[in-house]
Amino acid sequence: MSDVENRLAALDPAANQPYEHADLDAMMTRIVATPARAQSARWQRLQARLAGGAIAATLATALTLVATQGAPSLPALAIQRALTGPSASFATQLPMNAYEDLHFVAGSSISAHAPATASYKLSLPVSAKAESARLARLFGVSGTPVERGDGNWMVMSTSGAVLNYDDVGVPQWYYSSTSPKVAPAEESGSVSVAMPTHATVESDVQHYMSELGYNYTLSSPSFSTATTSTTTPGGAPLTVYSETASYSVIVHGTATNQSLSFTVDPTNTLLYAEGPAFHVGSGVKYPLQSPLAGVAALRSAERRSFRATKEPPRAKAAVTSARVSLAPYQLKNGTLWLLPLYTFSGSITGATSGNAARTWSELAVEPNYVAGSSATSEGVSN
Amino acid sequence: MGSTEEDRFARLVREHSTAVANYLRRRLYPLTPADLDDLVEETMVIVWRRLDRVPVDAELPWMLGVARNVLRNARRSKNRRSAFEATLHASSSDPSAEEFVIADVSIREALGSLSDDDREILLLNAWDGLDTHALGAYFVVSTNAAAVRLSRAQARFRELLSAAEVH
Repeated sequence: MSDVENRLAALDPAANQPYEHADLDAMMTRIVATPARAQSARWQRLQARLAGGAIAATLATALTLVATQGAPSLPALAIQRALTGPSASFATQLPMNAYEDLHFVAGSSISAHAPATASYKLSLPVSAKAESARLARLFGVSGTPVERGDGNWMVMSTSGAVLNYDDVGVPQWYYSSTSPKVAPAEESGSVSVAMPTHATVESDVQHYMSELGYNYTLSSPSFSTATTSTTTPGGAPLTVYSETASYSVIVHGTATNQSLSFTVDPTNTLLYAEGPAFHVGSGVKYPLQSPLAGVAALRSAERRSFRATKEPPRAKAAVTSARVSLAPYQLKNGTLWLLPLYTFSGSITGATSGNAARTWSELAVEPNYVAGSSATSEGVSN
Repeated sequence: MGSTEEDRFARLVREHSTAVANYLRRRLYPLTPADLDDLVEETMVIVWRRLDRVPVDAELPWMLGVARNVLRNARRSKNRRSAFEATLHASSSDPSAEEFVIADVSIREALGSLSDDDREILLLNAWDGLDTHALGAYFVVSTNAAAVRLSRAQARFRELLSAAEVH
């Protein structure tokens, strides 16, 4: 086990805490003997106890919006939750700023002028079953869509090729081929055989994009290669070479946090592909706050978090750059939108955990259109 | 328990309830023992109802997939986080949040910066012990596709960790 694996294992919340059910025999007897309807009622009670924060996937961005002021022609955005991002979903991601009382300072490069980035309502495939069937045909997977529960559909061919469609949040599709089933024993980032040229792969991706039919565009690709060596279940050595083209999804010239990738083998056979399934509607220009105001919002959110602390913050968060991107949010009416989001980069000094580079996110929509907590989250700089 | 079905169910429960509990505990933390037992039981209820669908060569991944859906359904319930926090209490034996933070800040930060998909497959491998065959069964993809996904997630994690430790 490598050092990294050891360190990862050391953070396992379940390590060194042996689990022992109160009474397994009683549980089994109860399950086998209880009619399904009664079990359902018990689950509803449990669900009520555990409630919506069960995985806390979107804790950092629970917003409440009020009716908009100053722009009566715009419908009010009522945000239910952010759909992705570096927010916590595991015990390992407790928000750092819960332990670091920060004083946010905007550097001279942080603009006082708001950009003109629009917001976009997403149009999703009406039927997950129909869309998974369409995508399966596109990738040559023959079979009937089967619902696996909770919005997940799968089409599997007799040869083993699979198309998965996950209709949760921003729908995502995944294709995997019938390539050799290997469990990698060794993996490296280089290959010793000729791989398809970047131009060939990119051309094929563009062909797939036209077939997919979604109206988002892609960034320039980044290419990576991998060699995976292993032994088959029969004991024969097996090496798989692959090349992956990775893209960011672009909407009207603005980057999003959605991505798409295609992986091929040396013969340019598609091994694996994945990406989002949506169409972008017309842009709506909600007024945005400036990046400088966004830093001020970070500062205000921090003060609210530490309002019980009388001492001034010891740690300083110097924000040195800001970029705007589009991130998906679900509104309370169930619709999905891509809304402008600032990602600030900077560094923390004077913190108990030492100095470190950081990024912070803040919804860019003008605060007059937003009430409630700030859409603030924090991550590591990369 | 007398029938063959019941015997198989009993074996699945005895062999895998700890792994299922740990899977749940890792993703919904902290939990009281009673809450954890209830989530395990809900998972086993579904295992019992769908016993004929449990693949003999991938029992644990299939059961973890059920546990995953149990958590997803919990997430979709109408109540808010405040209700959740008000009802769940850390076990006295749980390490404190500060202890978690101090444990390895860089690892935590790198994990926090991964996408949800990358983090899921990375931790299924690192914490839940699923190899690429089991990961393939869990995600219902080929072993090779699971290996590609895992490899990418590990590479991205190493990159993020290196970046975190530069500073």
